[in-house]
Amino acid sequence: MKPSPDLLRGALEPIILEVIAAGATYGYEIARAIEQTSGGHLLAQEGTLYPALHRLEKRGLLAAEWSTSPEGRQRKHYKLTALGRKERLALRKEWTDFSRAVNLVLGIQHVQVAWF
Amino acid sequence: MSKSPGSDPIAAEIEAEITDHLASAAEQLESQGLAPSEARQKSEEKFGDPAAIGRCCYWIKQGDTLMFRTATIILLTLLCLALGFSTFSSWQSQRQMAQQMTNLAEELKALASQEKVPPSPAPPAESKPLEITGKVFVGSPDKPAANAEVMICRVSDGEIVRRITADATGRFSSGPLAAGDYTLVVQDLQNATKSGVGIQTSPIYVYAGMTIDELQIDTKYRAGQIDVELSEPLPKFENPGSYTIASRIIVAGSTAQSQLTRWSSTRPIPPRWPIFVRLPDTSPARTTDYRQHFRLTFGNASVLDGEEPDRRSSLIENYARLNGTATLVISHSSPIPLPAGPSSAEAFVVADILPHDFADATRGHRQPGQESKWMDYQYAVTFPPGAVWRAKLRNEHFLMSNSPLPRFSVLSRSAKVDAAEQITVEDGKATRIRVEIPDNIVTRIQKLIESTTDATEFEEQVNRDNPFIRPAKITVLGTEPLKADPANTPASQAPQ
Repeated sequence: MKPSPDLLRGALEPIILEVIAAGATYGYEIARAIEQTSGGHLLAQEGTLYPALHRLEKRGLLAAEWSTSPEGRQRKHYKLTALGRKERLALRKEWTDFSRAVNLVLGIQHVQVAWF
Repeated sequence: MSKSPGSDPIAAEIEAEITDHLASAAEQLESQGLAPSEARQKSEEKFGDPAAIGRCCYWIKQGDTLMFRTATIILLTLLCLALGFSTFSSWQSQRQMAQQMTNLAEELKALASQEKVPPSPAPPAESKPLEITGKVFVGSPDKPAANAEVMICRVSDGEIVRRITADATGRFSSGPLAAGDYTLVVQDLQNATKSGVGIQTSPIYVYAGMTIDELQIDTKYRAGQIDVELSEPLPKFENPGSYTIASRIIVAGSTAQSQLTRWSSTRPIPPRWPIFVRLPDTSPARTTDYRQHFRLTFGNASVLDGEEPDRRSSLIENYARLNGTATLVISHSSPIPLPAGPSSAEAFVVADILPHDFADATRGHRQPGQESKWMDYQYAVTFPPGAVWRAKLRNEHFLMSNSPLPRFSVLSRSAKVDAAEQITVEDGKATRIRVEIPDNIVTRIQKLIESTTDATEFEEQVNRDNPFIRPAKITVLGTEPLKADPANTPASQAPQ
């Protein structure tokens, strides 16, 4: 089941930063990477990626450059800036704290390992 | 979009980007057997409304140019107003301050002119026998620790000078004592998980002329736990048919809030009283390593082995299922829970590389029944990381634990307090700490093995700049109430 747009809105930017850090560079490749790693559960419409990409670029978290694809089309590639790398880690933490707090309220427990 | 792409370069770029996406998606679908027109249609369905998305992107790029102009005008106006206001209020406040100074000077003059009355001398103290009295309870005074054994110990060497038993109401009296400094140790705390744990009070000064208040000794074992969260998944890398790189996080810590034997003044003063004593009857002189140590650790090698998960590995199961993208939480649990109070900890990531033709990294070094796997905890603290690769370079088929490479040791036993992160464990709560996984662990190991083909050169490089053992920064995030015992709750999916 795809998540509601409200839920996805908050998660999309950290997801994009993560996927670009892992090596995906242009829009279609980024969409495919998200689909594959999420098991198809996240992106109902691939186009929703682009406003998020442009917002991240505008904030200075992504830098972009154009190249020509093997098929002869203009293709825009993204990569993380230094600020983007820093923000990626901050967003990971923010998401972890948020999802943990929500899980607490919803009664979903994280897994614990008993060890000494 | 409302603007013609030809007249606006930004609009043209957005259109080119979306066109590339749709065409790439259609090509992918065609390669799966769809007809070109069907592939195009499907790609557009999956994409959403290209025109609407394009307009949205356009206004993200352009929209705030107009907003910026408006904001600038408003800001300048406000600035002028603020400047005028501050000039006026500055003049007013100077007048008020001058008046206040005048009032204060007059009050001080009045005080200085008042006559002082000398205090009356204290009445002489009545002479009483020197003894310690008190009450022992569990959690609250209305729950007495009936018949609790109380040991009265000398501060100078920790030796027991007297043993007494509290009555049914938890009350006790030491009887006459020689003047001196004492601590009290109460045996067998009722709610400590492990029997034998005692509690030791702060020093009590027993001297003539001093009032010795009745002691209230709460013997409840107050404990909490530490949860470790990683900033990102532990580094791992598999080069098919060649080698595997795996890693383990180790958080090693200690607390002086729980000590192995009774405290005496020959040891550092604990940061907080009372302290818990794991072997109350054992003489303090018999041990030098008095702090309680703890370790929290998790590794990802068993994921690569496809090990059958058991309860202890339930987190590993979730880690694998989530493709290593989960943020891990490792909670502490031990026969003796972590006592509430200050502790210190250090974190390290220990990584190693295993060539796929090295059949058994631990062969020959384990007794039957003590088998361990590559990069489990025992392996990580027994064999120097890099030892397997060194053995491969020397064409050896057995791994030697005395390989001349740096070994990870449980550093909490020698950790300087200043170097470690201070973590306060709170009663009934889990303190969350975040460990920052250092960058480029896999890359540095790969560079090392690519640049060295000789075992001696490999050793030299590892001893010079070890890529396998890296310290990790700890940040204390906060606390939350403890959950139910994990032994009684089913494993569930870790948060992403």
